[in-house]
Amino acid sequence: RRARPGGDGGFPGPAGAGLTVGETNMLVFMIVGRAEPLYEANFGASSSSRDDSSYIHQFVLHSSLDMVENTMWTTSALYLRQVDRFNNFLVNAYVTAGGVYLLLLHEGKSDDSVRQFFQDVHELYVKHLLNPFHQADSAIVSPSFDASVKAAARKFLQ
Amino acid sequence: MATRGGSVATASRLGEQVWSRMNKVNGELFALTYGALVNQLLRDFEDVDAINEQLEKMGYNIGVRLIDEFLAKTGVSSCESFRDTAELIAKAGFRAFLGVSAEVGGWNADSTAFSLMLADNPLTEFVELPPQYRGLYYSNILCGVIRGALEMVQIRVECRFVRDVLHGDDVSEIRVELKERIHDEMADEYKEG
Repeated sequence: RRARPGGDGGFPGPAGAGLTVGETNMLVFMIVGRAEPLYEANFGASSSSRDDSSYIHQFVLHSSLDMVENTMWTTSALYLRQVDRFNNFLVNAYVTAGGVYLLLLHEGKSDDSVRQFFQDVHELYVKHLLNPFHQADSAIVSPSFDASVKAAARKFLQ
Repeated sequence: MATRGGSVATASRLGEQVWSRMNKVNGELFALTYGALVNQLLRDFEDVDAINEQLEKMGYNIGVRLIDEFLAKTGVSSCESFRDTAELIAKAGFRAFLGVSAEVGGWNADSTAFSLMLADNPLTEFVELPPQYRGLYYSNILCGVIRGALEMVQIRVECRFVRDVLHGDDVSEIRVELKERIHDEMADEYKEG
């Protein structure tokens, strides 16, 4: 892994294999519905030493919602690429036809792999919507959806 | 053309013929409609056993009408034995109306009970049962259909699900048990109606 110049000040990084101290492997995926988040998954190497900064991903994703909304009207594509940036965190977004946002918080994945990941998850999401037991715009709790999203993340983002 | 309900091959062929001539409906629409129905029942009743019972009752109402269409389309007269009945249901009946064939097996010693094995079920196309509805037999309507249809041809049975794909098993299995052959005169039936 190439070392990133000057990490986020005071951000404890996991001392995992191949990572230098001060570096994190932040990778958080969120599905945001009309009113609230419907699903959240953390694929990064989460360290137990993330105390006060453990919710930073939520802040960053939340603040990027405005950017997503601005950007989505500029293009007819579903994949919006990178919409926001906070220090070394990047937020990529994908908007479904129903107005649901798929957001990925990462630190440098390629545009193409993120796009493929989003497309896979979009398909999984639509299939899940067809489940009669899923109420529209409610949180997604299905374990098989969870497992499939994690598998897609492993396939495209790692 | 009246034919005897005979071997498996005859039943399969009958099923294919009827299926090809039937008006078809979109499979996804069918699955989604049934899903909406079950969902509504969930909201109305909330108790899983009550819902299972409702589904069975609805199936019964469907079955008593469906049998007429089945007999008209296939032209089958009477079956020689309960075994023939079973094959006819599994191969012709299911094939004609659902487009999938079921397997017959699990016969008991005196041929009065059998199992129908369904590998894929068009009703459960997108369904995943949430854990709080674990006791729900989602396709219980099928049990009612079988019971209703057979009752119209003077056979009383009891049907229930013993295995269900939605509960984690690899096939869905409906157990059909013969209770009695109904021999009463017409007058009695009208009184009960």
